[in-house]
Amino acid sequence: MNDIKHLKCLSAVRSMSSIRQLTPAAFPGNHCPMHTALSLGARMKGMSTLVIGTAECSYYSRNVPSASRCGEQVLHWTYLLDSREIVFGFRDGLIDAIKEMDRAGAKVILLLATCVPELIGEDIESICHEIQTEVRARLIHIPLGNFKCGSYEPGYWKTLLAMGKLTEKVQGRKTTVNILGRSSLESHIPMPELIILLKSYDVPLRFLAPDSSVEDFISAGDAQLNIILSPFMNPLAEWMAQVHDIPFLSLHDIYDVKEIENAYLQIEQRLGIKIGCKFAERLKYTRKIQKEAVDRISGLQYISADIGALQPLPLSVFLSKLGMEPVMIHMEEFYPSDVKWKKTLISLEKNPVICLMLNKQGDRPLIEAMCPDMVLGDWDGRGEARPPMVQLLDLYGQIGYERTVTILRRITDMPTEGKGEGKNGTL
Amino acid sequence: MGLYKTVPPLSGRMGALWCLSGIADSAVIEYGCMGHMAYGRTFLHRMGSYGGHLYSTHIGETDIAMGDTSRLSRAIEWVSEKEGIKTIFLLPSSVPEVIGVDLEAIAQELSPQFPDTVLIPFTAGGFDTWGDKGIEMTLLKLAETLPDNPVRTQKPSFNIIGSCADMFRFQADASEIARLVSGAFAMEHLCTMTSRTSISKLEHLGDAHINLVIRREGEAAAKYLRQRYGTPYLMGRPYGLEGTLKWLGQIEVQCKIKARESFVRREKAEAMEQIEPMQTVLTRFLRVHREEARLILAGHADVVPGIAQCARELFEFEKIACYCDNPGMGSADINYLTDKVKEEIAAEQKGFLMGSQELLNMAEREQSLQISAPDYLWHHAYEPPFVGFRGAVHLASLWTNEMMRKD
Repeated sequence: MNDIKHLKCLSAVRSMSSIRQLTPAAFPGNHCPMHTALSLGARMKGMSTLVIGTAECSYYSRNVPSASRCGEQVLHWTYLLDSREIVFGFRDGLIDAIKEMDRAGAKVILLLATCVPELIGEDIESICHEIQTEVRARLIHIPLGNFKCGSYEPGYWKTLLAMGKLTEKVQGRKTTVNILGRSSLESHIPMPELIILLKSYDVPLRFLAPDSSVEDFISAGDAQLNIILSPFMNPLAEWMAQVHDIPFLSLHDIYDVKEIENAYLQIEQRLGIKIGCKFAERLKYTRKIQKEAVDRISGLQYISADIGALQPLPLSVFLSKLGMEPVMIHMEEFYPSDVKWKKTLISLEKNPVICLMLNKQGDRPLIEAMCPDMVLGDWDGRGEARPPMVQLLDLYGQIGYERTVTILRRITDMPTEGKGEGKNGTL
Repeated sequence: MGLYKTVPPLSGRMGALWCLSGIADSAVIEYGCMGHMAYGRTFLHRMGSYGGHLYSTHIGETDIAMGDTSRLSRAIEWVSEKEGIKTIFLLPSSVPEVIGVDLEAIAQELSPQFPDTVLIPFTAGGFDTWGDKGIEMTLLKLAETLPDNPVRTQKPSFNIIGSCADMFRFQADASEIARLVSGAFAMEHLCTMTSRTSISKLEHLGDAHINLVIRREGEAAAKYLRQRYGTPYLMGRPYGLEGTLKWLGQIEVQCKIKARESFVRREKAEAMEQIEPMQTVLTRFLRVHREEARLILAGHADVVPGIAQCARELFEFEKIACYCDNPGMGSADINYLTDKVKEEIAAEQKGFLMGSQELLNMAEREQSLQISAPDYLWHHAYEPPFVGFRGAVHLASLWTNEMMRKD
């Protein structure tokens, strides 16, 4: 396996900088964090954006705000640096640009600093502080240098974290629960059963996600609990816990039936509503599925590829506890919480290779040569399905018993016989 | 450069990439952050450009701090050895441009390591040039680098220079030009720089009897080929029936070959037969609705005057205004399309407008009247052209259908 000898195993990974590309040429690779920050900003009602960078950043990204449904009350402009500004700084030009956006009626401006401004180190944060008193628009700077990360994910979490800093302090707590990580308007994915139950109890829910408004973020400080459905939301929830004393419960990274039961119990106690009894049948069924799955999947090797908005390490911890063997994991972001998941996985005596898969066609022969029993998530083997693919991209925004059942069913339904080199290929 | 409320012009780097994207049997490896190529490749595919393999190395903080270019070497090795691509274009993205990575030196240094692979580094003019310069420099470098021991073809032959992905319907226009020249003069089409072409076709650039240059950015390459191989060139794009006949006449003079009259007559007659009924209704509309008899054209500076000429020839537009989308191409007749001008045009309720998808969206006009980039829909090589006899029919139908929407 000379082709993967440049990669590190999980035990040696401490941050994104240790995670190397499986194939050296990205074809074409991931989006940069500016793309996701802009797409998030452009979908928030009342949010204006200013992309600061080169013509490439500006030209290619214009289709993102053009698809925005937020109308003409927001501005999505760009500031292009010339060679003089790259050498001597762009402070004056940026200040003029911000003032012009302010005069044009922008209420909140996300200043999205791309690679070149980040590289030359212009202190945009200070500029924002300095002129904040001169403009009515709230200024939020988000540093998004693509060379500082391996993927687009920081664009999501940094933007959401920055939005959280708009949240105003409140004196009294209300009964509201913030749902972090999906929108109530996303009809293309099923609403988690827990959220449907909370709605049936008339618990006031505030969804913080794309399609939320700036006002939703400003008023989010009155919540009694933050429930997190996406890894992109953890930094925001941690900030709100620290600054606004709002406790949070992360549900996107728990799969084990017992852990889900405990999490639901915590929500039950905090909100004073009955949850456990409503899910008694679900619990029983999921427990049965989980138990049955152990016999069928124990010892099966897998590669975790592009699993979308699911955080790879927690899923691998769950599957490893059921006896599966992760041989390679594709990670687009190494979150602070991944330190904990890494420890757990190592304690289970699993030490998979960690990589960035950026070239589906190029990665394919390497994945095939490793002969895992299956690949979790999207990869290029869809047509011939060897090794077979367990599709997980559609589980965005899903949590709870129903997600665990779906994942286990999909894995156990996989045909694992008939591989070229017999069962459980090795590295 | 400064503040833009709408889409700015392309950078030189983008011009170079777009120009290289349509060359089969080659790869472009962009050294730098992969986000640019993720955007760029999708954009190019959307515009119907295909052929070249487009890769990015990505770059990290440590590479920048330590000046480490090993990602590039590894990517070249992989593309050359695993993918078997033996002509590799090296492009810098914005970060290596700032830190001053010397791709020329790296290519020289790596060449002995890959003796069967040609590494061609491109510079794209830093941060003060627009896409036109990148395209011009790229076309010139291709002309300087790739032609190999040219032997003039026995049968008359031609190249088309300047069909690149930044021109809306670039492939359709190049196909129509090739069809016309092949049909009228029985000439062999050797190569199009640089759409739907290949390294082997570019290697035979010097074999042609004439180079047909369809945009000003291609002239430097054509001049080089004239100087190096003695190949004459003709600048221009054929628009409208008269414009197409005149352009064919210029080729006759340049190549000293008589056009096949039967072909030209048949083509013109077929086009006229389709255009005449549209002329009847649209001309009447424009006479009755004088306030609508205005046409605004916004796009490449070599495209808009041609379409204007076609509009004048076929219909009675009272006023035609042309704008170009590159700040360096403005002239007395064609102003540059600034943010302010875009806003003013968008506010116009009357008249006919052709421009980019962005401009048409701003003006809440029909998307079929698009004549320039950017656009965000998927295109392909088989769409109707704007140039030539068929282009004239197509333009006539676009204006007549717009009239139907107004009427």
